[in-house]
Amino acid sequence: MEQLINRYRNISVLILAIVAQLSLLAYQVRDAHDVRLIRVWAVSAVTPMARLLDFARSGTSGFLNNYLLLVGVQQENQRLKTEHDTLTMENRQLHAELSSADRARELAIFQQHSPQQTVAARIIGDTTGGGNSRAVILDRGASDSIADGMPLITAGGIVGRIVQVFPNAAYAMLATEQNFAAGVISQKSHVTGILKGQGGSAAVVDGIQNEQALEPGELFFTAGNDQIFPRGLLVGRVSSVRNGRAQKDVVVTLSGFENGLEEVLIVTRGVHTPVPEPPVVPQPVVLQPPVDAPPLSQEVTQPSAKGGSDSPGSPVPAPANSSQAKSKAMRSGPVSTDADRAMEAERARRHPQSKKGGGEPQDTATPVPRP
Amino acid sequence: MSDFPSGFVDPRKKDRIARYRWVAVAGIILAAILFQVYVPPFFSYFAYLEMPLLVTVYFSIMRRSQATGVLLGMVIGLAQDSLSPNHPVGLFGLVKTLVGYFAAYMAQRFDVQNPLSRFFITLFLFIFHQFFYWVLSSALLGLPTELAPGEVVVLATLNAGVAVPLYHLLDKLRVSD
Repeated sequence: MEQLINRYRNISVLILAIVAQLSLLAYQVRDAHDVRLIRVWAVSAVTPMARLLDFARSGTSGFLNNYLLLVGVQQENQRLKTEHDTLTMENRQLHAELSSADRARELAIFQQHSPQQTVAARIIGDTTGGGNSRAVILDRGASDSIADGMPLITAGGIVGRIVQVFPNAAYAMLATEQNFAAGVISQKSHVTGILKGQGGSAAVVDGIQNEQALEPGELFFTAGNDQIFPRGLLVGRVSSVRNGRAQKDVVVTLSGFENGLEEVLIVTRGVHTPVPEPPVVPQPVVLQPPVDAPPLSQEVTQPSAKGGSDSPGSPVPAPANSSQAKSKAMRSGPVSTDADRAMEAERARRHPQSKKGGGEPQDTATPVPRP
Repeated sequence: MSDFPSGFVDPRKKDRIARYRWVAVAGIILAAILFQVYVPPFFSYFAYLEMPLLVTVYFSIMRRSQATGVLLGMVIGLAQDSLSPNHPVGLFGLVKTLVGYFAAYMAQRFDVQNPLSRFFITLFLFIFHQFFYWVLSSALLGLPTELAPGEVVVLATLNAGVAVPLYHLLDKLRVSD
């Protein structure tokens, strides 16, 4: 018996296993039931391992994505940097083009309204001119009727002059160079001097004596006495001035270079124009109170077109009893000084019909000196 | 007397029975089942690997016991069925029971230490597994299952190719006599 069992043990186990599983299948197929218990056991058995496996997988995936697979990120970073640099360069280029367009438009307007006959030129290069001075190359030459010595200007002022002419190009010395010189005159004091370049952004004006009046901030214009620049072109503003041994040391900031220098105007035929007068700045005027009249209010007033006496802040005499007297006093005030009497006489001479008041002169804003 | 070359049948080696620690066996079986159920959804190119089948074949041929092969195949197949949703429990169990039985049967006649014999045994049993699964599922249970012979052969070759180095690694877990 034992021998028989041993002999058929394997096939018996196989048959038992097959029958058992076939029965399980048949149970599921016949009643459409699920063997939930077996699934619960299996799932419960493998779930801890599955969690461990998922943890390892997610950890490995995260490690790979965050650390080992950074080659793509580096490439993307490089691409973004390149794109950023390209956009930055484009932005700068557009800004430069916009600025250049503004300058060109400004120059065109200036050219249109300037009495000078000019030819617009573009600076196309930079070179070293004679005498170790730096020169710029312009895209205009003899074919455009450009000649040696012609001034270069911008809307801001003078910037140089032509020093050498070729058929289709020209060399120009800038006003900042040491060999540059031009006769200039100040706007307010009308002192004349010689503008000389210093190799930097500023220039100096020689030939102004210490006794001559000159203030910082004053404008210099071309004097027209150098046979190169016509009179009346703006040169620059005095940035500093101080007395030297015999002459003043005057430093001028050239106004023609303030907005950059890409396009210039070559003055082919200069026209002298007067140096513009400095603008009049209104100054406060102080009128002292009359001798006998008690002070009523603050007597500081501003000059006005209607004269000083009828302005709200003008000196007002003591209050009168009647409204008529008050009105008269408001218009003219008491006649108590020699100046007042002279003014009253002059008023009566000019307007005899309005002798009782009114008709203030238009130019009486300035104080009259006391006798 | 076998018709195979002498390398496939070695009387000195064929009676050797490999022994393993039960923890190692349980762990490998569990890992194979987990691999089959959880890895392919994340790494689809591992879907062609039938790890539970390879583990069943390995332990069956190394134990050379048909009863052990039957029980091992049945447990692994039922576990695989249980972890496969909407899949009748017992289908993989039946197929792997037969695979375990025949693997142990073949191990008694061939030298299963030889990589070539391992390759062909696995190749044959994979085809048998797929064919018998198709027979049971379509004929017995009426499930819509297709059998593509060319695909089965390719997959059998791939699995057999993976099985040879895998078996070599699993040999490291053997307990020396």
